Amino acid sequence: MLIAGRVLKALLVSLLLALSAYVVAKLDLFGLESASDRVADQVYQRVTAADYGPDRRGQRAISVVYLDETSMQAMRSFGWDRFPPTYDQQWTMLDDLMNVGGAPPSAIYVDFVYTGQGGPDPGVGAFISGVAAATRANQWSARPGCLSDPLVKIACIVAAGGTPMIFAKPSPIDAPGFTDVQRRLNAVAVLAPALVGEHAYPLAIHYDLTPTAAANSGVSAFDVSPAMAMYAAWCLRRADGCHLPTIAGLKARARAALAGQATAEPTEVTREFTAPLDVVWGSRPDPDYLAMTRNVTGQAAPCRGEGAGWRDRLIEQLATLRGPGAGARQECPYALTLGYDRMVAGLGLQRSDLQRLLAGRMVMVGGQFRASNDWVESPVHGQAPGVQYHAMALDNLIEDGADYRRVSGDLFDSDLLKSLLVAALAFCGVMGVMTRNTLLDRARARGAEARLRARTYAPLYLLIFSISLSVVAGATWLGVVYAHRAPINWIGITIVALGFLFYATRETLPADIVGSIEHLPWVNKGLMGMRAAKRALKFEEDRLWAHRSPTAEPDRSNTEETSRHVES
Amino acid sequence: MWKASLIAAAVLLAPAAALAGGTVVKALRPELRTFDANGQPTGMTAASALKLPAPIVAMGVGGSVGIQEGGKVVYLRGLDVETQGVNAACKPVQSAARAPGQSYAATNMGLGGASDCRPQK
Repeated sequence: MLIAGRVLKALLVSLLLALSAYVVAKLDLFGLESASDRVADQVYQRVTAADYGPDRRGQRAISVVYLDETSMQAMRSFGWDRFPPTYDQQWTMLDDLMNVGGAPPSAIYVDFVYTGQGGPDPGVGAFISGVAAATRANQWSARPGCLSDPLVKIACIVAAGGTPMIFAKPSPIDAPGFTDVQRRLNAVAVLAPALVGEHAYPLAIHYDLTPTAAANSGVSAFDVSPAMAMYAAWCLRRADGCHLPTIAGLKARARAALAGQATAEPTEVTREFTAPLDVVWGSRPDPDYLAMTRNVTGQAAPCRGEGAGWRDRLIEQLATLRGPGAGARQECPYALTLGYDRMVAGLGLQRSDLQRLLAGRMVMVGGQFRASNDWVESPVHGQAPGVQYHAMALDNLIEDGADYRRVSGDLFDSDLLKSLLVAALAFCGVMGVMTRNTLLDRARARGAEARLRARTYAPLYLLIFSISLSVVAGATWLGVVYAHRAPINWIGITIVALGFLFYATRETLPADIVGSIEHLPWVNKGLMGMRAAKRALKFEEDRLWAHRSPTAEPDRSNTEETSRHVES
Repeated sequence: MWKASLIAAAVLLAPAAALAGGTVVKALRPELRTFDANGQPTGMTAASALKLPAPIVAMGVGGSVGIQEGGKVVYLRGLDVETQGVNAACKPVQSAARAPGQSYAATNMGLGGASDCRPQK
């Protein structure tokens, strides 16, 4: 009966604490909770970055080609004397990417938003017709079955033997309506929202638009993010279709659509891809990138090499490096990355390098202009260009498929999980303290109190604290590896758990520690000094006590006993 | 007058020619874009019209390769042709054009840009 009562009490205390934790998490006062969640995710990613993608499946498939201020300066040598470059020049770039690798890429994503020409630009016709030729638009653009949603459009391009070209567009919510160039581009290629400023990476995006607004913005049923569009193209080229029923269905629908048999029903995006992606950043540099850098420059890439495992990185984060690495510890780009100007000049690059970069690869083209806002905060790399964000998201999908790491957002969400974990930890903590008190009662009855302190309490406290830390670490790891969730706020939960344990044992823990060593003379002297200091520092409290009860001086010898009974 | 023009052309081309070396052995595209020594586009030329292999007689701005064609120097993009014997000395980006900074592009793109490369004599 006594045990049942204690268990019930522990349960009530832990549930009360969990409820408080849940309310605090949901209130998210001053954004502290969500900021703390992000920090926990970032630190976890930094610690485990070297373990991402051991078989390099994504790395072997993805390349990044960029333009930046230096590239633009260098390209002036090839007639690029204005910014932005003309449509003709940009088509030249895409045409180069299609041809110079010896074989065309599997798909190309262009992370530039084309809104239309600012002035007369006769090159726009060449640009559109070049894209149309690459995607074989003449075979699918008039087939209604190929236009019902972006995924089936990609499937039709692949089935027609073309190279899917995905272009960035503004979100229909941010910029409703298409410009003329976007409309023309949408007729021959796929447009995907550029997702600037997003924290969670969506895969399929459904909008609440009226049919007219959707038609004006070129939204057919739903939009897919750039990474999802590229992933669909990658899977469509594989015989196994990435073992996804959606891809198998798309292949069949595309064949039928090209034969003029398909209905215009949109693809049912399976539940696997509804939750946003928590983009995981890897840190192993691409071996091709390292080799190319060494061949071209004669020196090692000026960034961190293979790096250390999670243990070294954990120590590093705890001891010295509390953020992404800089200088010699700056991580290399995860995907094989090359400036377009370097490709054009060709100096130092071999033809095999261009083959490795382009032939059959998923090529992501984007800007790395420092003055632009298309930068994201990577937990592993620091400031990273938006195109690298898309490349990393695609890498995650290629590595993990439908088991990608999700950002929580359902009813059974991260806050609820955290609160349940806090409840479990609090329950164990309270039970541990109660066990300690029971042991003490029994020891006193036997007159063996002093021995108990030394032999039993230390392991008991060690057990309580280490179990708490292990449970948090285990829950975080299990959640990431098996539930495919973003890591829970392990830092916050650890602080709450340790704080609660220290609070619950605030009297007993010091008493037990001191009690086990107070027979030592120097400890005894120290204790006397501490008591004197305590008296000296408590003058104001004593004065208050004196007002309330002028006659009774509290008996300090009973303090421990009192607290013990309170906790029991 | 004719002699003066020849001397002037020789003086202009001499520094670039001094940097040149190697051979264009193969055209990689059926049609190649051509440029002048300053990088201004001059049109297209059919690969079949080029007599290859051809020695590189000059390097244009930005690393375009100049070959003698029809009595004049035609500059081609390195991307469009396969070369032999062109050795470039490129510096990693941290010690080259881009100042080390806090951003990813500044510190991380080990290959740098074309401006980081200089053909070796």
